[in-house]
Amino acid sequence: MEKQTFYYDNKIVRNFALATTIWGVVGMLVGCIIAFQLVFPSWNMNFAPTTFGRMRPVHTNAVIFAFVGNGIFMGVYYSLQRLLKARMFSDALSKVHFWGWQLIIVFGALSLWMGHTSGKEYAELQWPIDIAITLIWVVFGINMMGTILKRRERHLYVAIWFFIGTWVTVALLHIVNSFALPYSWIDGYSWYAGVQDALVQWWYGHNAVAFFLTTPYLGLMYYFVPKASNRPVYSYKWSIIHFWALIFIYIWAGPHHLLYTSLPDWAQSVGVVFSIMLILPSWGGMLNGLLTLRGAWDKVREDPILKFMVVAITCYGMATFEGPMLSLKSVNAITHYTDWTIAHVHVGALGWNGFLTFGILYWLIPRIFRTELYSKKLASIHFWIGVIGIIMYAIPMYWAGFSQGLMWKSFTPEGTLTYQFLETVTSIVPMYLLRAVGGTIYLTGAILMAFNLFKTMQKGNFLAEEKMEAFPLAKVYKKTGNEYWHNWIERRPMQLLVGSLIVVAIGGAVEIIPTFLIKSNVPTIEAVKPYTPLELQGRDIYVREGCYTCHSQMIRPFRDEVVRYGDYSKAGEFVYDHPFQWGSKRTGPDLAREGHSKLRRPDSWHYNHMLAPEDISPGSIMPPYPWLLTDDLDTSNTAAKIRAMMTLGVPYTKDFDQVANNDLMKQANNIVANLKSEGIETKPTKEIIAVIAYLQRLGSDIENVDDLPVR
Amino acid sequence: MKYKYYLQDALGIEIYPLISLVLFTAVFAFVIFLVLKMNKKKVKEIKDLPLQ
Ligand code: HEC
Repeated sequence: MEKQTFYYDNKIVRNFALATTIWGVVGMLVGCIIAFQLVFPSWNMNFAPTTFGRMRPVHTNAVIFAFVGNGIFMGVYYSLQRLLKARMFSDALSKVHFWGWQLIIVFGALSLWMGHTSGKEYAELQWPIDIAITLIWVVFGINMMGTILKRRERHLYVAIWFFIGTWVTVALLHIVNSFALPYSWIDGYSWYAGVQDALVQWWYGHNAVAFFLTTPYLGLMYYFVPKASNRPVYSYKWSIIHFWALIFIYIWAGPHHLLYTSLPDWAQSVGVVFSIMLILPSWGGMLNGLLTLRGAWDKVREDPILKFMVVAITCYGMATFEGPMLSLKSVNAITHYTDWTIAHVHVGALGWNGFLTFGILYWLIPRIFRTELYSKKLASIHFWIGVIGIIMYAIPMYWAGFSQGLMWKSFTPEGTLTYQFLETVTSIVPMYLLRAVGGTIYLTGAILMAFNLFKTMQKGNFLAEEKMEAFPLAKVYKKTGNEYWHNWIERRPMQLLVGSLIVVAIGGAVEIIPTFLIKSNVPTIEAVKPYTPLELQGRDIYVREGCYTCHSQMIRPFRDEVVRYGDYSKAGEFVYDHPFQWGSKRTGPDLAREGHSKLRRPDSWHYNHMLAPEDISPGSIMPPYPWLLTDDLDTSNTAAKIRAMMTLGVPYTKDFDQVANNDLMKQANNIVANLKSEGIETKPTKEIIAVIAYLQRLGSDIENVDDLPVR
Repeated sequence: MKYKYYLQDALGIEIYPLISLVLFTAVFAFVIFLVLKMNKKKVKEIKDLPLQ
């Protein structure tokens, strides 16, 4: 057999590397801006697209799908070709993948800024973009599997299993969670409602962390750490256990985002048990990464690349220890809805994803540009700036989370709540300032890196086509006598793909299907009725403005929450909520019972509060929403919305869509009359009227129900 | 999705966590068992793949 000559495609790797760097800086910049908005509400600029509720999804989507996403593709396209001794399957598919993904990012960001959102965290993009993501993901899959099929190396190194596992699972998660019924050419309602929507969303949300931020990056770790340190992975056997245990366990852990909510208890318990078990494979993987560097610590001291990688793996270890701890119900009772969660994700995002990406970029760019890094010193400075940034970010957030969590729960000896909600906010605003500074320091480091890499590219000589020689695979595989079982699957990428799919599908199905099928999981409450058309429009504005990024609508069965917000939430209250709006963070108070007589505010209060929260609640960090008072409500889509809801099973009477707008105007006129009696002149056609209608409806259904179900 | 429920009540739903635990332990034990049987030389070869 003769050696074949072929070329690695470095251009696609360079393009993804550029995109990673640029989107990284952009995504982090948006993060810094929203961090400052929580200190200085004037940074919201009284302009819808730049308010916190719209910018926060732009930030999360940008860092996850644009920064880390491009980082994954960069690493996969580089390592896959080399591990398989083959060029990518198709240059055309590589190009479509690259440009398609960048277009999705641009359109995604624009659509979020314009207020088109599904209202489900990290899955905010609406159905047309979801379809585009699916198509591009399939292109990526074909390109990857095609390369694997024409490989010149029989065995698939462990990094590649992680890539394959990532690919199938993300496809499954994305498709199941994105199911929506369109009511216009860009917007639609989540297919699921209430409890079911929440379960599907957090099954997705948790596994977006697991299979977008973790497994592909573990694949990169298993390739680039050996590369950068020039020594093989510590234990290959561990890596096998790591892979199967991790994907098996991860998929079950989603419900730990919904502890003490209306989610059925059995599902919560499954989530907790598996979350705790996650420590084992996670730490196994972390140790495997760190021990790869055993005997090379002298190199680590010298080499900023290895330093980045060591801190990245350490942060992975910290985040994966903390995660299971936060899943313990007693811990979660204090930390959930607070900034603790924000601290936790940023140890993962800044430390693990950020630092591993930086390390890989510093390693990879000089190689494909056939030169030395422009300045090793600058990279070292970046390392230290980054470390300081992470510390300055995380510590204030832990402090804020812990102290606010305790303040919420504090009672006076007389048995009343010690603190008003707003007091618990203003007391942690200094922490928000420190965090914003920490984030900015981290961003500065990233900008230094961009400069350093740019200079490296300038002085280097880009090698677009890297020449390589290798023997083709023999048609028939000859066993060498050194076989072991796993060789079987390592030679069979398709079986590996199907195997991973089965493993993750079991977990998803066992959790999700019963919640959909079993009636006792969502006891019905007769008094809970569908939203009126005006309320529905108001709710859609609530979703559009991203109020859920600061407000929860889920009261947990704790003494302090029941005293503060009213009776704890019941599963049956959410059956018409497409999408659910339980939220995950209480920067503002819970709104589940905002319209219940216990909390009810006058219409005029809401009117003035939405215009200028700080005037009504001194020290408030809620953004002002002046445009809601001036913009006209778009009622041209009311009928389409009602029809979509009917298709989803919401019991409006037959042909209600035809008269929905009459009903809407009637209710709007009542609110306007009411506002007038409270001294405010406005028109029934304004958006604010719909928002008020929605806020006053929240929690009012069960006002006079005595025999509420227990859950 | 109309809210039709196909089972009125969760018959023995407590068994779900149990089943999942048993399932996992089985898979985990199987993987460990097979990993222990791996051939050292072959492992070394695959381990060195990135460094070639
Ligand atoms: C940046 C976070 C943030 C965003 C985004 C936000 N809020 Fe708030 N909200 C707060 C804070 C903090 C408070 C408590 C202080 C106050 O009353 O303003 C609050 C209070 C409220 C209250 C008063 C609750 C009560 O009865 O005391 C309502 C109602 C409310 N917000 C509605 C909304 C709506 C509607 C939106 C979206 C259009 C929204 N909020 C967006 C932070 C936010």
